[in-house]
Amino acid sequence: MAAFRAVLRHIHINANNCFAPPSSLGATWQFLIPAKPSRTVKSRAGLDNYKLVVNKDERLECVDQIGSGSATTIAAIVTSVGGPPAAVGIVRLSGPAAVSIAGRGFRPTRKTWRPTSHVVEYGVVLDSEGNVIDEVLAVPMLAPRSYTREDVVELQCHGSEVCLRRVLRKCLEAGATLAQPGEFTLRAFLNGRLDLSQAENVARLIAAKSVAAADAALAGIQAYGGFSSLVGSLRSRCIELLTEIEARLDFDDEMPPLDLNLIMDKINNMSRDVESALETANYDKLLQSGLQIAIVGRPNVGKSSLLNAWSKSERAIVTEIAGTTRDVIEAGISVSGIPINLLDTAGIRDTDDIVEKIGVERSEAVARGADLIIMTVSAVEGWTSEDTKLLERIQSAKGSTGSSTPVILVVNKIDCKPCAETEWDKGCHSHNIFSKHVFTCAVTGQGLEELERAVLQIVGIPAGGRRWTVNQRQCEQLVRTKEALARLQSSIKDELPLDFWTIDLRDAALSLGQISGEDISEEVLSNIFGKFCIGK
Amino acid sequence: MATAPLTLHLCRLGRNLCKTLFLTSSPVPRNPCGVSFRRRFRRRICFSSSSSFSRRFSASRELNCELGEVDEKYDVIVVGGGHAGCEAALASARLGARTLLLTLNIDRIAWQPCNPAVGGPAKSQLVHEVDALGGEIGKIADRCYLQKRVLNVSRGPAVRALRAQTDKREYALRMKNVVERQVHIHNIIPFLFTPNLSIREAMVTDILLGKNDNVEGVCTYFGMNFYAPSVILTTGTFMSGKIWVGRTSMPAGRAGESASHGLTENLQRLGFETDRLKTGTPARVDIRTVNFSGLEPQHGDEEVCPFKPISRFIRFNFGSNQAYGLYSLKMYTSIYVISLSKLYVNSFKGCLKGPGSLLLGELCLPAIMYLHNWQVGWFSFDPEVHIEREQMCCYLTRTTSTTHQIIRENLHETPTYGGWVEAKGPRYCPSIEDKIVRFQDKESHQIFLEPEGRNVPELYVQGFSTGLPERLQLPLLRTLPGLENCSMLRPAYAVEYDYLPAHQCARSLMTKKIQGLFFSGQINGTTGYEEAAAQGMISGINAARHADSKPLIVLERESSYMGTLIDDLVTKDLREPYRMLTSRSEHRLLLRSDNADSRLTPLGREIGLIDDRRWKLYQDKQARISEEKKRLKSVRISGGDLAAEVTHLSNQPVKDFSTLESLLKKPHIQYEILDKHGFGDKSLSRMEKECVEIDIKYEGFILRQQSHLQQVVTQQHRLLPEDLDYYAMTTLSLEAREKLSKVRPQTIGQASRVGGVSPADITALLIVLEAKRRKAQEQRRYKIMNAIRATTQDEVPEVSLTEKVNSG
Repeated sequence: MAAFRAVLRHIHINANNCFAPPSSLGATWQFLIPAKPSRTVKSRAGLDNYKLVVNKDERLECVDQIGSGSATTIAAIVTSVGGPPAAVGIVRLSGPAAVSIAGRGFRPTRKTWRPTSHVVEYGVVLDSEGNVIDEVLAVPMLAPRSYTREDVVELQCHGSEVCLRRVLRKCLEAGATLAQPGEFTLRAFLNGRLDLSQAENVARLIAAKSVAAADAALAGIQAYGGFSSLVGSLRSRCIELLTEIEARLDFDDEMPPLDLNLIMDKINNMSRDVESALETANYDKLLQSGLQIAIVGRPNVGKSSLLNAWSKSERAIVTEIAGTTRDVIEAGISVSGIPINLLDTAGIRDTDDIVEKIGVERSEAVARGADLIIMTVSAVEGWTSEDTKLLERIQSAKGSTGSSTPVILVVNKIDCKPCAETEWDKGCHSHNIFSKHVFTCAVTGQGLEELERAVLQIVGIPAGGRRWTVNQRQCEQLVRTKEALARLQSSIKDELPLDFWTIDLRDAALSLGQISGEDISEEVLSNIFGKFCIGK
Repeated sequence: MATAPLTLHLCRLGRNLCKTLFLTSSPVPRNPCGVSFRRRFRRRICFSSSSSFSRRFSASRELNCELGEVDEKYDVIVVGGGHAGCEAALASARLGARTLLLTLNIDRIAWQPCNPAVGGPAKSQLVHEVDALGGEIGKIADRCYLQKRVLNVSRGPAVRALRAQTDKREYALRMKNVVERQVHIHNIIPFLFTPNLSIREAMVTDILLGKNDNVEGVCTYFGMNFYAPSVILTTGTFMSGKIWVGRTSMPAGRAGESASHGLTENLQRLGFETDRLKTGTPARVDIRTVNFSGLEPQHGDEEVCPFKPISRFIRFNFGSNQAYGLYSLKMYTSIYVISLSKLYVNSFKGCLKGPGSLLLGELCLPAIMYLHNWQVGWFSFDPEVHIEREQMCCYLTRTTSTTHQIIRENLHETPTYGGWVEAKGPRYCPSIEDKIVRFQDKESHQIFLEPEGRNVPELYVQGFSTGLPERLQLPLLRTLPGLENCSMLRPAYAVEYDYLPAHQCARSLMTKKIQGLFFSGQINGTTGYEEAAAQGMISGINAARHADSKPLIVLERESSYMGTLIDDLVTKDLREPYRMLTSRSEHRLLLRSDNADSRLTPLGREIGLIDDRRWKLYQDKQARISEEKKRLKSVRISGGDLAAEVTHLSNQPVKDFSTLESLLKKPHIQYEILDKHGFGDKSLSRMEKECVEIDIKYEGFILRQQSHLQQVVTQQHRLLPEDLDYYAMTTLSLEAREKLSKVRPQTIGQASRVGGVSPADITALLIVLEAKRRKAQEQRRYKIMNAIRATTQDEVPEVSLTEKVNSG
């Protein structure tokens, strides 16, 4: 059922929709689907003549059926992400709880927020600790006067991706679900907002987007970095625990007793991992503070040209004279939304010039502190013995700090020696300390895109909007898992019976699924039969 | 005047009637629905002979009787008298349908060919649910138990499960009695019963079809035709059944019983897809040749009633039972020892004078009421069958290294490893050779020895099913401790049989191809008596309703384990015999044993299976429970013994003015604590207290699950039009188009559970549906507009207005 929730949560049922079953009469526990008056197709005539019995426990006090139960509230960044930052970005919420979810993060300048439809209000969004995330404009559009014909709240933030993502995360934490690709449009269509003629287009759009999302999800599982491996491992740990517990529940007297302490340890470890991932993971840090990339190399290989070309500026002075750059020069760029601080350094060589010597020392210091080093060589001169020496210097510097900063080899001035690529390809196998090598021409800008891709790949942020979505989705999965594990721990603390543990473990496993709505029952069962000797 | 047609019955069926008139034992339902229907029917018979009511067969029967002809026309025919067949036949007869039960052998009605046990995790929920709907399996199990145990006592109310070992012969006999004496009480003339369930030995070989692909009856091997608008097939393992011992096989449905031939071919001819499944049963040994002295006994739970003298339940019987040495005297004392060690050890130690001492019999043990875990549970919600019995003891033995050695040396002699039977058995019921091969590092496997009856020497060797040839079976058995000198009564065998993949049925269990034809039980690929009974119940109800032209009943997946079972069967691709497990239900916390009645009895009442007596019992029970919950909410305590004990047991402080409800929510606090301090309601039964306790203790979780459920059900239960052409939906994946065309789900929820249908497919399906709906609406509106234009102005506008509202 939980699986199903995930599949169908986006289908909001219009009260008057003819597919929706007629609402149950009063307090009765079943409803009658009126039989079609004529039975033309005799062979299947029985099918239209059913009385469906739904869950209704007379002992249970009636749950409010109309309330927030009817559909989920979705949230997403609806302006484009991944490109150069825009001035304004929008996070949209849609669904019956849109206003209350927005209200949990949004603080207007006035004390309380009483949303009036289609009236803009200025305020700030706060995170869970009460810190201001961003200044925003909140635009509530109440049903049915909105794009989806549900309650919609749009939070207009600053265009920076960091802001947008943090606001979105706040919404997810407050109870919204990350929108599936095309889900706003889907809801709009299902709620009768779009024209029938658009049905075909909607179908095609959503089909294409879901395929893309599925592809991306699969790719995300395989790609290293991000949360992929964590999500995968957490899920298998959940399933493993479920296997242990469910086996005891279904095959009571055939199993060795369960080591509860071990189970609790595992659960605690899991929730610790989730917490730390959400708090300190690479990804979040990257989004907030950006990457430091140091460009190093011998003098006059085109480091400064590279910085200028990449940052599309004339930040560094470029001359034919070796050793022009004496100090560290910084330039900010954004790659797929990640802020990057480029550091151009003085060419490293043995020198007697005092100023240049200081510059070289600084270069080495910068190289030590960078998240990523781009080592630049000249295609014209090829790999020289000085390059080897320089590499050793960087390596030794790295060795002393104990870190392992990835290094990208950039072969610059490729335009001057076009046939060099193949040579380098052959030669480069020996230099396996390089994570990547890229051929560029700083003057024409050739190879810069490739360089960006290499950077993204190495820092573990997959390139392109699709993969961004994957990461965002994984982030949501972790948020949900964190909630489920917190509930689980409170169940354990309250000494609830074993069966109750499975409820939240199931929730966690479901939210960690590769595709939403995955069925885990069969997986758990085959694990049980594979792992334990069951059967009397 | 009114009696005229009924006296005709009397002449015709005098023999049966005499029996039934003076019948006292079996409870006879007095159902409001069916009865009112019958009454109406009778009146119409009386006042107009050419009335055109729906039940034409009954009518023609009346007329034929007058002519003295024997024409075999019924409302419902049930083929097969197993656990599905009995429930189906009883349900249908109790709904007032004239029912015929055809079985190969009347002496084998409700036979338990494998383990004579009912219940267990998930299966017990099925039994409770069948009982809540007015079925029979729970009652029979309650009356024939040899031993009962509640499993998973401390693991949560949703997985708590009752299991009973039953007396195989007694079970079959009692069920046979109920089936034979099923009568319909006439409401107008109170002393007139109408036997409306007939039994007949016959082998059905063909289905008779009407013009519209509807069933008209069945044809038997000896050429008889029986007619009915509803036919239920519950063929079990009999359809082309073949049993195997070692390499030798024999056509048979069970050992010693002939298989049924010809039906499979005829069903295939009608376009049904069939396949084969395999299952098996272990050897039986003679109880008298087993030495139990060194084996670990497995006792049942005992009913322990507070404030009742022990003599109430110490009823040693040294008569016939001692012959088999199975009634363990120790059992009774061990209960006390355990209970006493928990509680008032010192105060009672002096009273215990050993197992033989009947001094105990005079004691009152108020402390016993804390022994939550040591009480006999009941399947049925009907207190009439709650009759305690002496329990028998099961024993536990283990395989030895010799066992493993013999099996390893003879693996080539087993069907699976020898390679002459391809069909794989169920994963949850592996043969002993499977266990030894797959779990090589396990040095020993548990084997349970379970008696099959009070008056039979057969002992079931649970966990020891094997495909080895008979000559090796006894040596193998003799490697087990305690069985060194045993003699074998029946060899273990495997059985292969035809089944019909259940995607060919709708969730009402009526086949999609042929109207009025129902399948139930192992024919749908399940295993287990409980699963069979659950399906039998549904198909019996629906067959009777179909014959009566009433809408069929579909239990939604979320409503019950029965619904889950059927939904899984008709929706998912099954590769092994299906057994119900608690992990198959997504919201099992809501589908508990204790609330099976509050979930399903109102439905049973509405259908007409719950008589007035039972309905009143039910309503009184619910009223008491809700009263008590209200009381616990309102009564507050401050300090005192109760608060002190609660603090002590739960390690949590008790605030002043705490309600009893809040105390009950604390860990380890059971209703009995309230009872002990005089805050409980003594008029409540143990089951009712349990309901109150569960409702209060787990309220938060239950409500959360309920609202989760609520979120999806409205969407999940959206109906899919039956005439959808999935192949034309190009936005669906190819696999989804294929699978959906095959399964033809009734609802969106069911569609989403079909294997190979992705969430994206469901989205696409929804878009198609919405587009379809709007097109239809456009057309309607267009027609109405035309109609308005055509007709005078002041007639139609209202309709068009509502249409506009709908379009929003």
